[in-house]
Amino acid sequence: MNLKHRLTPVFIGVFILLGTLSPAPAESLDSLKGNFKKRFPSVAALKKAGKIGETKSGTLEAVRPEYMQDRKVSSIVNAENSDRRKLYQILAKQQKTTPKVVAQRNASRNFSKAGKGEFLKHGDGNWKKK
Amino acid sequence: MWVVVALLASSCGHTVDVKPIRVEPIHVTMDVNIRVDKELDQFFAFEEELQSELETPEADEPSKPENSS
Repeated sequence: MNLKHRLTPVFIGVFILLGTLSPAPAESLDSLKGNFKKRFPSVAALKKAGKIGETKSGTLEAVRPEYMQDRKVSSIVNAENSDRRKLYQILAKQQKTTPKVVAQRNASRNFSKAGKGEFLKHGDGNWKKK
Repeated sequence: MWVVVALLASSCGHTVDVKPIRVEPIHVTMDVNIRVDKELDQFFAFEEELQSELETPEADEPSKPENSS
């Protein structure tokens, strides 16, 4: 058995090891966009109903804590915020900045785009109707 | 006398260091904000389309042609 044949299993082992050690691929922007699109009508309806609103930290929040007891509200808010955090991380990496900066930029974007009558949580922690 | 003159001369000496003003970080911050805003606008471009679909009343659907028989 020559050296080449003896080293082949070693190389295969190293490749397998590297494959298992490498981190799982991050969720792509396209799949995140799909999630946001699918959730958009529910988010818009809950905002219109005054159950949820945008915050200065770029996340969604229930206007009153008791609204989170509604499973529909809590599942929408949690799923949306989870995807937003992933998005902020991806964009921060792309633009060489921090997720916090991206979140703050998105917060100001959401504040300006909010419809009349929607609740917005300001920096002082108080909810105000737009 | 010379001692007094020397003391006065030394006390009048005043050096002002003018350091150049660096404005680069401001430009960098603005640049990052603009780029992030652009990325966010592009990513969430679908929102306006979906929002207008939600606001369009269902009555806009084409009505069925009347049966002439």
